[in-house]
Amino acid sequence: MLLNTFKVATRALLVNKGRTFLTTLGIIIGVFSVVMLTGLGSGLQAYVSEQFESLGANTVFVSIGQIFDEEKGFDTEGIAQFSSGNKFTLRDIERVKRLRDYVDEVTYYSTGIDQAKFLENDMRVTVLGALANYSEVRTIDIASGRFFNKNEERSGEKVVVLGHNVATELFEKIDPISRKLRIGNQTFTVVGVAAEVGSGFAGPNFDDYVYAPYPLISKIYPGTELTNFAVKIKNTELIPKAITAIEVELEKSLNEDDFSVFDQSQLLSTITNILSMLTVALGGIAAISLLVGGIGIMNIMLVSVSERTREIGLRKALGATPKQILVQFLIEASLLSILGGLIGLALAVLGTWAIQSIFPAKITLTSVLLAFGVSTAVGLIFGVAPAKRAAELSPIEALRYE
Amino acid sequence: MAKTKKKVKAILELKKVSKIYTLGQQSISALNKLTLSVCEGDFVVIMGASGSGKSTLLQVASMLSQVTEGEIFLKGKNVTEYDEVERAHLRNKEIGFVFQQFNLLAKTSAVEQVELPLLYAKVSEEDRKKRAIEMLKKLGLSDRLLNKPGELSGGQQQRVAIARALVNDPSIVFADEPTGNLDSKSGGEIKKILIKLNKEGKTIILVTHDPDVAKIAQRKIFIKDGQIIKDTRTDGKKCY
Repeated sequence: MLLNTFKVATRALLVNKGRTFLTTLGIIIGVFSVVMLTGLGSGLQAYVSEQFESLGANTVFVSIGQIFDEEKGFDTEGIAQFSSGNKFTLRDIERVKRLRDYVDEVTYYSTGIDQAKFLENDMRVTVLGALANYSEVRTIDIASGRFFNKNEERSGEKVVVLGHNVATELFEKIDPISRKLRIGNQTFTVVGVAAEVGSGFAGPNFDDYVYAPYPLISKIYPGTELTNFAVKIKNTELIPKAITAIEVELEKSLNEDDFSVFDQSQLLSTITNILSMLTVALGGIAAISLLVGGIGIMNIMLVSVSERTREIGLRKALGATPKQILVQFLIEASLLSILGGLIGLALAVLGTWAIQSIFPAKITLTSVLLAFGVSTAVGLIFGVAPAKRAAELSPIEALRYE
Repeated sequence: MAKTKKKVKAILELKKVSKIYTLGQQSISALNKLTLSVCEGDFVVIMGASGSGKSTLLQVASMLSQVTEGEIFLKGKNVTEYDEVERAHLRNKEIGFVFQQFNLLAKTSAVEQVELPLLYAKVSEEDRKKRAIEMLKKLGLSDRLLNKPGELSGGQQQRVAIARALVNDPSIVFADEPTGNLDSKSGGEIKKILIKLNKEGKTIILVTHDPDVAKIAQRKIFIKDGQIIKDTRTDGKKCY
């Protein structure tokens, strides 16, 4: 019987196709915006998390300036203190290194920007002077060749590891390993190429970097100072204790306000908190349109019940029970919202796909289920009043209705 | 020689039935302790001026509305206290309706119109289609099966409605001014169909103003102020 009632309801909707479409439009827009906007929010969140993960999970960052506060999160004012003239010394770093209960490795680095050239090709690169252990602390995947080693770091050999873009743009199809290229007025030998990491949303694009030994780079670019370093902690559980220990150690030579120690979970949680709030807010705003769509359905169903009063009377005269009439109109309302939900969902999938190349939007199962569930529920809830009205019509009154 | 009275089973009995409508503070008595027995195979015409209560009688007798007082028996069973669901089933199984306005569904083919009662009787789709087509053919509409009401003449529309009334093989067919909206030619066709149906054994109760239509019935009932003032029959039947 339900199948038959379903067919009857479908027929009723097909009889008035134009109106059916216009009624579903509210739900289409509602579901589209809920899925699309939460998709943008969660895509952004996933992307940011992924970017942070790639930096290494058990790494603690130490930076000059009070740029991170446990209560306030990141503080832009603190960044200004970068230029305060404070800096770390190699002795500070040695002391941190000696915290062997927690610390696995310490790596520090400095950067300079220069022109790199191979044959006719040239490009601007960021030269990162690092220690040989840098690739372990910051987890750099090597696509071919190797990272430079401790000996090369110590002897100041002119070896370099290229970021993905540097390798492809300068060397094109030539294998860069063991080739020589010029950076500024120095000649370096390529020992390795890093795997592609993709362009960052905010922050540096590591594919445009080249990595060379720190002692060498600090000589070539003498202005660079030790304003931050990274510490690899033995395991993630130790991170909170390690942060305190590092702080105690550094306070011996610096004021506690002059530097900050933070790990990426803190960084990440600050950012994801903001992003998830944003996602909820976007979803909430979009949900209002879903509600409006539901009210649209109720309106049209009420009109439809009035218009079809005689039909309802006739169906009752021919043997339809009040429940069958109720179910018929409920199915009609739900079909409207399910149809709208499906179209809205399809549009959201298309939309997400279309902007994929410029924005990492990501449709989550939760947002799909939620939007679909809510739109079906909207149809059912807003369908109840008109359906009840139809079911309670007296057959006589309905048949007499003009 | 006096006619011998044939005793026939009563199919529908109304015992001291009253129907009172309340409009605001005013009460209108549409039926007033009316008693009536309809025999199996009767062709009854109910006549009366407007406001006499004939339509109310039809509604009450056809289970469309409930009585205020009195009792109704259908095929010997007291159905007075039936609830909305039981009445719906009863209308579906035992009663066929033919209305003055035809009351066909818009944008729906003749076959689907006729299938409706079978749909609510939970007959399988295949069977529904088969029976609906058979009934439409019987009423001379074999070339109009897929036409929608807008594509049919008034007479054809009423024949579709009659097919719909008959398809579930009801015990009684109620017709409310079935020729009221038709020209005399189409009206004549409908009358012929009703006469033929009655000859085949169907009980028919027809409400009309039109004395010409009334001529086709063996039994005429006149109503005034919610009571029967005259009940004549030409076939000498008697219900028990």
